[in-house]
Amino acid sequence: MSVLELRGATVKDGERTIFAGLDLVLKAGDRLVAFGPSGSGKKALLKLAAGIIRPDSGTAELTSSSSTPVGYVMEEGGLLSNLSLAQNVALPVLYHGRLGYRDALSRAREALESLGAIREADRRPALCSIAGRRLAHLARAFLADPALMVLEGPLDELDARSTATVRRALDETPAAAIVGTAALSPYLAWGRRFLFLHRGKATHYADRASLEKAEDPALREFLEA
Amino acid sequence: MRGQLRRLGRSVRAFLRHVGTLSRLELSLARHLLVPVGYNVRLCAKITLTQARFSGLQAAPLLAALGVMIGAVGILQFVSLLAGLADDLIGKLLVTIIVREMGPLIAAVLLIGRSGTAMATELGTMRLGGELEALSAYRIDPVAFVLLPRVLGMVLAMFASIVLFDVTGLLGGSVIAVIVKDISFPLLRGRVAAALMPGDFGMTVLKAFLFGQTIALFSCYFGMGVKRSPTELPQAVTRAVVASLAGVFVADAALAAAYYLA
Repeated sequence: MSVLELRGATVKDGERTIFAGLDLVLKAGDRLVAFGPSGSGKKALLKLAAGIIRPDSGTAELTSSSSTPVGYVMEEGGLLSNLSLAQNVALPVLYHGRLGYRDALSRAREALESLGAIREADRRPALCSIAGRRLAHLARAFLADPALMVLEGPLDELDARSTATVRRALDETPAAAIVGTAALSPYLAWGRRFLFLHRGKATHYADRASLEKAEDPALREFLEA
Repeated sequence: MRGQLRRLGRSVRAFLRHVGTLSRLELSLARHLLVPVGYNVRLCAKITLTQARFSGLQAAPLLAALGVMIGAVGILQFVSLLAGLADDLIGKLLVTIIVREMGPLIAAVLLIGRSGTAMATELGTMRLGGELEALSAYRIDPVAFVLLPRVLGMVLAMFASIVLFDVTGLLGGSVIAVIVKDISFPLLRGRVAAALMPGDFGMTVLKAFLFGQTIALFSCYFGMGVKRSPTELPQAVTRAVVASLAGVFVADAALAAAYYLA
């Protein structure tokens, strides 16, 4: 059963078309890597998938009945600055009434501990390391138990230890996942499908082998750069 | 001429758009207040009290000092202007100046300058930092989670601030009246009590509600209107302050007209 369906989705920024007529279906367990140079529309695609923006034309549908269908991991920001990391992680389940305050906070601390970020659990985001914030994003997404994980460069700027932790967490998630990144190589082994965004166009690649064989000059140029 | 008309049309359209969006926000706030579906009330109460503490409690010393000074200066002016007039007017003057007019207005202006600006900046920063987007991704309604507790907190803070200003203003005015007019304090207290009407309490509650929610709503609305750059923040704060001041003064004028003319 599909988790996300984009049909002919077009997204514009004012007069500029970011991408047009995009079709995309993600099912449970799918792992899609959306990649391309800066300004190619990766972030717009992720926001569209997360339901933060609506397409200017076409449709975008999330078919999960969960109160939190999406877990969103942002590259920067996205954590409430007046809450601690643990409170940020607990917020979605608390808001949707799945757990009471104490239980939600306790589960949030467990989630942070499993990702190795418990040391920073009681700090506010501004006082935490990049890795701490990224791991808090992941913990929040896992605790929300979504059908779709939307991740902006989840491995970017992480040290080797945090990278290994995030990789393991991403490998273990049963949810469909879409990663947006300008650096493809860290996700080549993880991704099952690939989507190259370039100058308003999106090209699908069903697997790593077809991606590596592709002769699209723009893709070759991007991969070799 | 055509260019001026076009500019006028654009301004009218922009104004109507603001009115439309604010009306929808008001309706949404009322819905969330009456039916808090799927929302942890304890969490909402926690943020509301934090907002009330910041807006009300932390501003209390400044507000109390202002209350004493304005009450004292106001009565000093009237006593010198109305020399020879009956002393029993002083109680009515104190209640009219402090409780009915100056208290709510001064408290509102102070809260706009202190808390409204902070609120608009906070919301603008939340928008720029992707916090509102993240809330949206987790289906956390910003109206329920961000706006409602801030509006409730601001209304609570406004009520507490008005009462504090009234008490300290009456105290400051009374001290001057006792010193200058040589009236005994118990007699003056009796006259103030006699001048206070039951409607004054109702009007204080109504003004706290109207002023508080006007300030919080405008501050959040213009703060959330920041789109891309930190340079938009000062503009958003200025808009929030101007709109809040205009809203408070219009509401005050309407209430005064209803109170005195009805």
